[in-house]
Amino acid sequence: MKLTKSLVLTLILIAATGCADRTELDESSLVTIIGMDTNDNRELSITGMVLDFNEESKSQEILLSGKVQSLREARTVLGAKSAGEFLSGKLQVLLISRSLLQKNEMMPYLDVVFRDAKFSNSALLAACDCSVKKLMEGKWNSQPILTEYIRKLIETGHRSEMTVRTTLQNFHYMQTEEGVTAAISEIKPVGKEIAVTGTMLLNHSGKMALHLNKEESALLLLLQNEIELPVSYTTTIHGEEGDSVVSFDMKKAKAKVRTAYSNGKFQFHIRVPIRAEIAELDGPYHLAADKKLIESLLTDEVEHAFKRLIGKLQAHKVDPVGYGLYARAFQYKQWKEVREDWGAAFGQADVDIQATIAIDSFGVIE
Amino acid sequence: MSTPSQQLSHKQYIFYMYKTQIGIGVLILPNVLTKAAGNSGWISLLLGWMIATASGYFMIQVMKRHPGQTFDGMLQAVLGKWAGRTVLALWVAYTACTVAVVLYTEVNIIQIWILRDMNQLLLVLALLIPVYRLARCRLQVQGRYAEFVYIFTFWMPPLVLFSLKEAHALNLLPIAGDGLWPILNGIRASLVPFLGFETAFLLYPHLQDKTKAFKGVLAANSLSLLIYIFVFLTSTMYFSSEELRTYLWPTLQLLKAVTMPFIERFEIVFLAYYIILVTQTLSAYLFFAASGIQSLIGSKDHKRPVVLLIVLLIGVAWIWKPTLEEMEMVSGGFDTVSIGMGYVFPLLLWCCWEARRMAKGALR
Repeated sequence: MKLTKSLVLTLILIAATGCADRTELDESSLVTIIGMDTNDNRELSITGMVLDFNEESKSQEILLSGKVQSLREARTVLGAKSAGEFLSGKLQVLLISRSLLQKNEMMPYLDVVFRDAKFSNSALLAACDCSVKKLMEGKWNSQPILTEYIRKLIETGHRSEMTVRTTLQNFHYMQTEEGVTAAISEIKPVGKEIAVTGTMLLNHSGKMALHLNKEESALLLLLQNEIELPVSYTTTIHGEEGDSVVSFDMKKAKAKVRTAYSNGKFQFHIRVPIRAEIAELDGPYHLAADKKLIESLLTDEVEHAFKRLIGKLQAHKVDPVGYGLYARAFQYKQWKEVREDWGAAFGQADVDIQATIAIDSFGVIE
Repeated sequence: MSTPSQQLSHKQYIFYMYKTQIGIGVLILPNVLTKAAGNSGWISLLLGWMIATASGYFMIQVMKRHPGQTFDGMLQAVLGKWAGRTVLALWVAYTACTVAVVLYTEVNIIQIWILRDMNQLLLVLALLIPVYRLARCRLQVQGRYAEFVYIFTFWMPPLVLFSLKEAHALNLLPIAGDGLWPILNGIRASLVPFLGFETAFLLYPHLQDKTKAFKGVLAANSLSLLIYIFVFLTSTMYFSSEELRTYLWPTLQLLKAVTMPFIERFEIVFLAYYIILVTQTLSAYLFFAASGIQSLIGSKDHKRPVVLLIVLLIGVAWIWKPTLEEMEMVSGGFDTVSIGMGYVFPLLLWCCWEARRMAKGALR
């Protein structure tokens, strides 16, 4: 009796495993890149890169494209052109063209990404300074698989402090958090390669506000404390004895923020102490003897660069570092009045930034 | 009710309550609590824990004075025969409804996150198989199962730590920035996830060491508190407050960020194991309801009532296929009922019992 019971139960369990409703890998279209672009008619054109599991085909990826009203509709439009069931759970990269970012707010487009639980939210978000189609259609020297190529490009770009690394989840955070504005990486085709060109800053509503080049991106990451040490940085110092190009590695660097509120303005005192190791110096300076001089010249340069960056951010009313979080944490009463539009309030804030560079070592020669 | 001869060890007693407490609540807690109390919700949790523990204290105080008596016997001794039976019937209704609410909510979650196109009825059936097998067992076996669940799901909370990589510790400040009112407002939301300790009523007569009964409640509540505060703090640091207000299940969303080279979308694995946790909640309440029915109709054991309840649950699932929205409405209303049963009832019972004792003393 007991045996029959357990036998029946086992049979039920085997029968109820749900294999009837399975998805075969080679009968599905896994989309790995989605590119969003717009043309002059304000239509949305979607380009999708789909993995090809067919053994006989030469390339491993298939490019599909179509014109749609929304991202979800792309599933139908592109799905009609592909052989298998269209699945977006393995999305790796979401590309958005610069022209789309300039025209429209991003969040309404991306609603399906966050609403549909099956969507992968760890996909990287990147802007592209050309037509998305051109970038995705192109044959690039370096890598046969575009998905891997772009993903690695951004990841290594981030690791060498050239750009931010923003996943869809991060992007959602930055767009919904009042005290911060979004920053995404930007890529661009250069000759036969694709290159990381820096960081794209968006305002609260998700439109493009400002583009930062690679050097500025490094400073931004430093302010965000998102760096992986050592960070190499090259600048020109202007002393009385002449100009000189200096490259150094930051061995230790951390931005520290203090906040205050007076005269109707938020105040941020940022200190960035940096310990540096000189890697290259081509001017009329003697490192060991002029150490103090070089330190102060470098400090001037770096501080100046920081000030320029902050000035730019304030002029465009964006706060990718998240000073709004500090304002909320320490000046909550005043923050409540400006929480609706923190970018504007940050634009008027007094930001005072002090960098100090201490040279730790200068390699094997004096 | 089942004979008090069945023994439950102290450890089993703690885990039984603890794993009954950890149900659906932990998945939605950061959302509900942030809506009510903002980023200071963890203070509300602390207050909720105090109230839950006080409530447990009253329960044990009353049970202590009626050693060897079951919940049913105690109710009749304190309230009189008919009032006691009415209250017991209320408890049966309450626990049976809890089973239904938890079950259908869980089914809805599974449908949204994992099995999109699965029939609700099939899911209900599949979930009820282990619950049925478990609830018809002796209490001892259930206690062992609670231990098993504890060990088997031990790895799950630390997974949340992965999201700390991208945490913003500043989100926790300012502490109580909007004053005291939001914190008090959050207490209601933080009382509900502690429910489950009321199974102590049922477990008490079966305890090996009854002197440690209150300590057990305290331990179970504290273990749950740790999990809740941990989950709440992590999600507050990870999400913006706006996100926390819009994500229905922030805890699962946290896990969506966990990606390893060999696995993506970890929340699916997590949710699959979560079903095991929920079976403990379901079977504990089902057992409570079944034991109540058993002593109401005076049947030999609780197996028949379990079958009856299971058939009822399937019947309801057959007719009523709740959408998520309906489920939220129902459980929102039901929360009030459960707070009444879990928190107000023990206090009233204790007052009743004290009044009776004092009246007796006066007579003497």
